[in-house]
Amino acid sequence: MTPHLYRQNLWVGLGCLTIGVVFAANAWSSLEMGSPENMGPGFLPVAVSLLFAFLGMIIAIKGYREPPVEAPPMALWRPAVAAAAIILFGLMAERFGLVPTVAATALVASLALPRKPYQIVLNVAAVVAFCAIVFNRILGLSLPLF
Amino acid sequence: METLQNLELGLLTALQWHNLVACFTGALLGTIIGILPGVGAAATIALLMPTAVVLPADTALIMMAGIFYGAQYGGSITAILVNVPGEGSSAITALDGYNMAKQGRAGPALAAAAISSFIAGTLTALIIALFAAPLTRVALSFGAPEYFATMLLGLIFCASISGGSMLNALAMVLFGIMLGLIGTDVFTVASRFTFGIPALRDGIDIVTFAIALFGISDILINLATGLQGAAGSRAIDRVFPSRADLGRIIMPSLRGTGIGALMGVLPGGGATLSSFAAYAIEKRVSRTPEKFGTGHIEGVAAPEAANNAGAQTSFIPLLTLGIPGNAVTALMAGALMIQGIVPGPQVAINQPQLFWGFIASMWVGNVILLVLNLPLVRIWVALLRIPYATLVPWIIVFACVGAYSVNNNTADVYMMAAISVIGLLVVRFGCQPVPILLGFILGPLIEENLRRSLVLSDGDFSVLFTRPISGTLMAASILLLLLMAYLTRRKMVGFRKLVEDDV
Repeated sequence: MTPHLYRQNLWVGLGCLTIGVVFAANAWSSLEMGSPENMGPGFLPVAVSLLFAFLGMIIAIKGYREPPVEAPPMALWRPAVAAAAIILFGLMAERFGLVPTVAATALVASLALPRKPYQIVLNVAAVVAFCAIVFNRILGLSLPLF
Repeated sequence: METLQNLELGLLTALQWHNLVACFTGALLGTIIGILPGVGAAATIALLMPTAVVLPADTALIMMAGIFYGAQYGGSITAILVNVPGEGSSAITALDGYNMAKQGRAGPALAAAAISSFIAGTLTALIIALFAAPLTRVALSFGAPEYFATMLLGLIFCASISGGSMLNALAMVLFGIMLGLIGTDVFTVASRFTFGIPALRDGIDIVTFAIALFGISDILINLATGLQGAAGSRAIDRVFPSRADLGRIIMPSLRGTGIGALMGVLPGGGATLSSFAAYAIEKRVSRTPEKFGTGHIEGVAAPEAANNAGAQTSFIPLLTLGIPGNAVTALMAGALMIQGIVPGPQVAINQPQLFWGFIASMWVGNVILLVLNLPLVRIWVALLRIPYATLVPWIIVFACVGAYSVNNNTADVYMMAAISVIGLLVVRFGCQPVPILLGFILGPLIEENLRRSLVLSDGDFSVLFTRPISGTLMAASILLLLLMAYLTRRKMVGFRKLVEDDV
């Protein structure tokens, strides 16, 4: 397999530039700039965003001139599974209560790394039991158990 | 005299049974979680922050400080036993510590780490007690321009030594400030950077932000790249060091303490840089420099003393000025704010019990760690065998419950997911997350103080340069920026590299 080469800082710079311009435009269009002696809510947001965009431009130019670097190998589906588990917690928490939510979240999170089914079941059960006792009974979390 | 009275008040506070329990719990939890693979001190504090905020302010602060020392010591344990430094600050410990472990001297190496940390912790707590009161008095004369200038210098300094490209680090500081400005402006009630999302109107909660950027992002990164270093452990026969070992520990510990205490005060520096510097200096003063890196006990003692001293003195800017200099103190500042306490010189005056209790607890915490850690070494070794796959669901569930419990709102959970993905991207593209957190926390304070300064001066920006203290600090900021520009042109990656090259 040939390593994937790319100009890292070019992408960093372009990302900063884009975000900076979007934020600056958003602040400029919706907020009062004010005057130096009575600064409006938009002054610092616009100034910082523009500076950020400017730095982004410099980083991009510098990155364009640099030799490309090797991209570190990453299995992106694993973090995606973990992120999905977090979203699932948000979706379920107020509808189903603590026990089903924690069970589902822990189960999905377990799928991010290879494990034997019985190990996953035992681990998830331990997480659920711990949360039910510590968060519900001891710390008094507002979520009901079911 | 005043110092002694203050220390007495502090010790009495720290030794109250509930604070003692908090300190012990913190140190124990910190050590355990610090040992677990893939979870560092900042992540540990971030994850436990929702628990800490239900406690009274002094107890919460003492517990979080305990977690911090504990996690740092936990990081040294993994550095020595399996060559996986839990923290940047224990990376250097692994050089000699792991080699000692390979020679069957893991016990003395762990003991050297614990004893030198204890020496450093004790001396540094005294140093802080001596300097805190005078520094607080200086800080009281600070007006808005001085605060602005100090925070600006802190942010630039943090960017200059956070590792990686300094240009990128500066950009990350600005990014953090932008994220910190999200929400409703306190002066005018205008919504800023909310992009029509109602949940963003209250801004991003500091706890959610910290858990996402340190707790969850770390997991996402470890999942994406695979955790470095295989867990495995070797037998430990002798834990306690011989008399000869003890003799070799003392001087390096004292030198390390001095270096760490000095460098820790610098914003952004703290523990990591001081451990590198202490190692480099120790090697230079040694009569047998060639032995460093082969399992030399001095090479464990000096950086461990320095990182502990540096970690503790990094609280000085937070306690006296209210300015956090690194990720951990930034998290503590966040925890204080949640408790309704604005970190700064007023804390020492209005709440001496909180202030001095916290300082005294640093020393109490170090005693607990020393007593706790050596006898429990075998348990720590067992913890190293827990596979990462078992931990991931636990950490994710804890983080979700933590983020939810801040406001009892699922919006915080979604925000946590979003920020952690941003954190993953930031690291993926070779940038640093620490400057983002610092910018996030200091951004709103910088804006407030800039506005106040300009109101006082009728819009004249020169107020920042004409007052003596703020003028000096502004000049320092500009010099630092110029120096960074020069080093970047010379293709030096940062100040940290200067020290690392020396090692």
